[in-house]
Amino acid sequence: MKLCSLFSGGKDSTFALHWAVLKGFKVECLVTIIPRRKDSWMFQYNNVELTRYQAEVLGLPLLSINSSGEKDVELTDLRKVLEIVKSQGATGIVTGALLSDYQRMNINILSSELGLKVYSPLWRKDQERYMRELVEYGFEFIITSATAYGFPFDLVGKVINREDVERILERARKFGFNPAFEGGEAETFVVNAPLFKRKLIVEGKPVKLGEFEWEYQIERIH
Amino acid sequence: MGVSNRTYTLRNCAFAVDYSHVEGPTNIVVEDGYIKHVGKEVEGDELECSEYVVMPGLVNAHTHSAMTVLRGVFDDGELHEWLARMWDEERKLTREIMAVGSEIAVIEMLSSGTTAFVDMYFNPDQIRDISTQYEIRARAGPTLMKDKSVDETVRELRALGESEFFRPIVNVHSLYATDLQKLRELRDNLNREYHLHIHLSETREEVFQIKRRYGMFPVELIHREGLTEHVHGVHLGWVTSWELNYLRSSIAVTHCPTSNMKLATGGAFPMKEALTQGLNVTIGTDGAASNNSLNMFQEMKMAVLLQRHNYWSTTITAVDVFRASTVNGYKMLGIRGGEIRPGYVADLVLLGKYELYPLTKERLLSHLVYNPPKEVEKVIIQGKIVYQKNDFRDRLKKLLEKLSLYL
Repeated sequence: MKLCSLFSGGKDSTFALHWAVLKGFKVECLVTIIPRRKDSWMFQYNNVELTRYQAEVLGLPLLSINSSGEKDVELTDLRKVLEIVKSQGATGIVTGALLSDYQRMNINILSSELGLKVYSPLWRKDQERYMRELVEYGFEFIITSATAYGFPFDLVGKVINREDVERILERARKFGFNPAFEGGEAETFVVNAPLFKRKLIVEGKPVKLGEFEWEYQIERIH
Repeated sequence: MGVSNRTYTLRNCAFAVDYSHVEGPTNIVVEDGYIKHVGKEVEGDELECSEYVVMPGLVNAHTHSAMTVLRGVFDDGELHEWLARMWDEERKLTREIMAVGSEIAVIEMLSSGTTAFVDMYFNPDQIRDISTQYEIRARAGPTLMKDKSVDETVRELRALGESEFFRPIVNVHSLYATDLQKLRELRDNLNREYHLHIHLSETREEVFQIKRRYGMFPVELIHREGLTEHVHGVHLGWVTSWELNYLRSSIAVTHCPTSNMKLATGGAFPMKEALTQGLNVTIGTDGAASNNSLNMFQEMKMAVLLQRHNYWSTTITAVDVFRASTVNGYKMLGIRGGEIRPGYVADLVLLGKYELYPLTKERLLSHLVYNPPKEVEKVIIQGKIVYQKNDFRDRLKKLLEKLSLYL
């Protein structure tokens, strides 16, 4: 069965893509939706325009589509994307949804209308365990932004290792943010993964935007 | 081992096992249909139990018993295609053949350790009669669908009456096969406690159809209409997290793993979340056309396996599904049962101890869920032995002959 991956370049969609490949699905394309607004309800904003680098090292065609990022209009945009996916002969999509019913159900409602199946392999999985496994399985990702009170902001811009994961999990428990950043507590960018042909080198600098808001401004990827 | 309504003792049972404890060898004293003692006491007639393991009866929380007639008729359609085909087939069913189908189902259920079932079909009066005859607990009632008026439904419900084993319930096929107006009328006509048995959030098509039609998901709609406390919702493969929260005050939710897998509904019943939130989680086989077995032992195993496969986690265990199929089932029925303790109803299943091996106290519950005996030895309901291995063989033969004439 042919699938396309709703791909933001972060850890969840990258993991979901790997799941699909290991399940024997034929992943035909990556689809990235680029919202114009930072506060998009549906899509990741940070660095999504950089998925072209990941597509290249994955050897998959990338479909990039701009969206307004406004709450209801972006659903129309998503519909257009799914129509394209369908027209390419895919029977479904794979998403990295973890626990947001808003995302999961909206993707499903549109896919249902178009007769596309939706696979969300991370749905309701144990999130602490998932964070640990990501690192163990060779997913290397950097934190590109963080906005949660209590987050270890010194990790912004760093490739996360085992010790970092433990720190994140400990802080998540202590300060009550989601350990896998489901609520947008932090955004990630994957620089290496089992199916990448090579590791991406990312250059940039961490910038403090507010007392509890840090961002890693990517200047160059090669 | 003949048993009357007098006090008696199951003497020296190899083990007595329920979800919370295992003990043995032990005696179980039964009086007036209830467990009086578990331990060393002996009262009344004595019945040798040393060859048996005793467990509580299993509650099949969702089935369509008459559909044994349609077993195997169409195995390879996804739910909505399958359902359309079933509705075609069902238009051809006579009352006589439905009675045959339900009686076959009851024999199958008794012989696989089921002591109670909740039924949704077109023949609740026959379920009342068959359950009363076989002395198996049953809940059934008229099914509100598009082509049935509320008046007719309520009239049928009231005419059903009760017996020691049977109580009427209200069946609503689903929100998509019923008008909301009718559901409201039904609600307003039923002003006391009632058990509303409904297929809920079973498929993606259903949840989005309801969302389009009413602007909210199925459980949200049930909640808004003030029906939650009456609801016994079945399937819930496409329920949202916030809806689960609403269902805390429901009578029960039922997981039907085999049916969901067979009909490729693609959702996932969030059993761990449901249990954590305190929902009364039960298990059902669904009908014989979508399972195709009515064996609750198999269903318990499927439930664990599907949860583990879906969530990549061993969080759900044999104890969880055994509890769901016993205590939780009885709680749904409003009966103090499902445990082997004094004061609990004597709905018990006896299994041959030589079929559960290696037999140790620690491994017993594992065997019951993962490798149960092919058949049970005896079934006791309300203190009375209602089934012994090989009972009803001739009757089943006759029923199958009747059925073959219809096919």
